Amino acid sequence: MRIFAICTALLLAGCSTPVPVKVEFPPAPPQLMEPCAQLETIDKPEVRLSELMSVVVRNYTHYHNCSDLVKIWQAWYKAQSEVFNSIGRDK
Amino acid sequence: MWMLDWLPPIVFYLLLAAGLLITIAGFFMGMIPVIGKYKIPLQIFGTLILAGSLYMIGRTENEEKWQARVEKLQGEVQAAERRAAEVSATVITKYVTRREVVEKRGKDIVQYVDREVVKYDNKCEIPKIVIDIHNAAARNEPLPEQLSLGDPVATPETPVKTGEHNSAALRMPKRAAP
Repeated sequence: MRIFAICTALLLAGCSTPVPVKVEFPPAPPQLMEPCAQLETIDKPEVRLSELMSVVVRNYTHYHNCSDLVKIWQAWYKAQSEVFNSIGRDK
Repeated sequence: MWMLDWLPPIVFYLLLAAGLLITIAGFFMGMIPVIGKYKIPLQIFGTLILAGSLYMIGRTENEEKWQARVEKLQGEVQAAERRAAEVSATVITKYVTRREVVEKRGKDIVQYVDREVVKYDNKCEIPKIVIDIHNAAARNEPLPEQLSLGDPVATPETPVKTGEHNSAALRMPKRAAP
């Protein structure tokens, strides 16, 4: 009986081990790493209405580009997180 | 363990059988004179062979399961890497397309301004204060000193002169009785 107990314990010595597979979160694409453009300013003491409007419109364009970049970042991160977290889950 | 690489699993099963036979011989066949003389060494040796072979069989089977899990997980990782690349490509395509649309709309509006709003340039003089405020907002800077609001903003620690308030309150006409 003692031998049986010892043998059983030795048999169980080969227990399960964690699987050494390294998974890395993918790096962000370079397009998403571009910084937002700086807003334009008016660098002369006098400006015409049309020039002022042009600067304002361009600044609004910069804002929309930056806003889209943030939204795309969030969408990219959410999709990549779902892919990353699905690894190793039994389906 | 090198033994798992060099020795086939059948060796350990044969050792198990041998260990079992030797152990049984050592414990239960002591009455036979030939075996009885070596009873104790047979018991010890048989037990060691039995235990060792059981351990190696356990390791072998665990190794096979472990390798299968590794291969399965590596397959999942490769599939996930492919999906991740597809996700990145889709997202970037969407972003580049959207950016082109935004840029084009901005340019169209600027062209419209240069064509239509320019007609009103002579009718609207833009004072310097507008330029200063616009630049301060674009840079997210505080207002220039010359454009300060004058009186500082009140805080909970701001002392309040109550004299004027009380004088004004005393001068208020009395309300008519209901």
